[in-house]
Amino acid sequence: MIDAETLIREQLSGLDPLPPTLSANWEDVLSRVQCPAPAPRERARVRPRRLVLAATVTAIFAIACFATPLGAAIGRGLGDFSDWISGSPGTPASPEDQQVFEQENARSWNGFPTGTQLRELLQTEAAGMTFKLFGFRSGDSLCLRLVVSGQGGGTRTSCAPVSALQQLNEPALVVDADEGFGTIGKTPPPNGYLPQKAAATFGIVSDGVKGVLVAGEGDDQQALVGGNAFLYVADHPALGARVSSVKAITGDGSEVALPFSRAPFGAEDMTLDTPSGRPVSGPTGIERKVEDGTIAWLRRHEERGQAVTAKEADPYRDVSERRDYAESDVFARLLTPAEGGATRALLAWSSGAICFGLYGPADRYFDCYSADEVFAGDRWLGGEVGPSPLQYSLTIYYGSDQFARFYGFVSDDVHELDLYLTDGSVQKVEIRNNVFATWIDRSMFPIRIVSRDKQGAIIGNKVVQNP
Amino acid sequence: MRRTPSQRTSLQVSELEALYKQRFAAFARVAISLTGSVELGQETVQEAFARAIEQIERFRGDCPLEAWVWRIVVNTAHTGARRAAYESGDAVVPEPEEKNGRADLPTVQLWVRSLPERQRTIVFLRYWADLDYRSIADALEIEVGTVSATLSAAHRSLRQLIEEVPR
Repeated sequence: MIDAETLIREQLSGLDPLPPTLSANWEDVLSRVQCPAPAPRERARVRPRRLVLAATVTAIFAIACFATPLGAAIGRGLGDFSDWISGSPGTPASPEDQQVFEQENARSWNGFPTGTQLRELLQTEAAGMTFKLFGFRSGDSLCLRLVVSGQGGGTRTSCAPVSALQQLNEPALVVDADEGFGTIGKTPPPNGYLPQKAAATFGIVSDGVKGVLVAGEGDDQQALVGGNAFLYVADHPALGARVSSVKAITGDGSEVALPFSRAPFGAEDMTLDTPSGRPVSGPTGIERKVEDGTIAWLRRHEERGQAVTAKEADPYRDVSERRDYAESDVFARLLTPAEGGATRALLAWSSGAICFGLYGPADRYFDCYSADEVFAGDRWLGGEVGPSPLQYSLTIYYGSDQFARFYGFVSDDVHELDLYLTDGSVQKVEIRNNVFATWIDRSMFPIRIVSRDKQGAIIGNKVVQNP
Repeated sequence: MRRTPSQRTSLQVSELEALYKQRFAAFARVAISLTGSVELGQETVQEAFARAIEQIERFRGDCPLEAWVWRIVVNTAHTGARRAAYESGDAVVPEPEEKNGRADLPTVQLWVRSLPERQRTIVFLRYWADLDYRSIADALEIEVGTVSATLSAAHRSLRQLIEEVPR
């Protein structure tokens, strides 16, 4: 258990007992029931409701990168996105913009690699703010960085793996939708939210794209297109208005609908609007039950990857803050879950616990688990079938991102990890030294996560409706 | 023997009553924390259970009954808090009242309040309601991995706050 967790437990438990004025009153509950219900007691309404159940509220998650199905048919060559692949879309950013990027990047232990060259793609004005869209390539990721200056401005960076473009059947890719900037007014309406000054939707386009149409509640709107990117800024959008679809216009004038997931509105909108409406694909059930999963190389302290020293600031800090660090032998290694990527994964063994961390430009995660229980299955995964040999997190940090981050670690039993997507394709997840980190297109949910052993037998099977 | 729908519903209302009596303190603690007010927190629990009775036939049994009730309590608390903030002219959820006559709320509780809404909700469900990850995921209709990731982020934020305070 980490220090913060202990402190929270101790201090919150100190708040007992409840205020003396507070006591359970089931009769009062029954008196509030408005519709006939088979409760055995009188349920006459004695006073009006004080709480109104209506609103949905905002949800802002965090930054992410993304991926698209590896198993999808390859309908295009990378040539259409050649400028992106070579890292040279648009024009070089100004020295000032490059410097700001480098300064911000340098603050992180594991930011984008030094020397990453920013490219300027598009610029526009809206709602009294200036929107500048930059792009760059970093390892296996293609990233868009929207810098908004003016009151209410800010910076958003979202990335896509190169593989997303390799697998793309469409001529463009939405990377981020309805990123809000600034608010209007001071007193919120009953649902608690103020309208935004502007909301930006942006993505990557191939060479042949002549235009991009963005649809919301009204007519289609033309996005700016240039530098192999598109940018649409809704100026003073209505409260809760969201882009509902995006289409690319190709050279011959035809319109192609792009894979898209609406951004959520409201903190209670915790289930993101991602299910495609298509059925879950892939095999059902398991073919072999696995028990007592482990990561043998970690247990025997085999030196894979690299050691964690004070130089690796974030993972070093996380590992050293383990409560029992001083008392036990912590064996920690930094690994690369995806070749060429900037993200690093941490696996550590300490006093019967397995710790996992993920560190990268858009990743920051660390947690420890009982080694005896982590692969025990349902307790963690709630899987449709029994003991599961993998531990994972599936996260969208900001609801605007079009791709969910999927990362974690697996026991030695897992030889293959496949994601069955609703377009019928299979996204193969690369596992290196028992860790993995990839992206899943939100428009492909619900997904089925299937793990197989060396013989190809299914040993884990779980359907996930939403990230 | 298979139960008829009405038999099943009556049974579930009885289960709701048992749950209410058994776990009232946990529901109340979390509701008070989410709303920032003892009165509003109590109101939340009462209204949430009333709503649960009204909607019991919608309970499909795809998660534990308690998780389903937690979902209603959390939604009721969030909505109630925002409604209260609106009616009072505040743009944000009100700060907590004095608890048991004490104004010196534990620092950690104040730190928890500074967390983003989703993190705060999950922290309360984890430590005050003592729900495991699966139950929190069921209650909030999110993935277990998301619960884990969100708690991890909350711990990280709290660690930073703890370190900033001279001891």
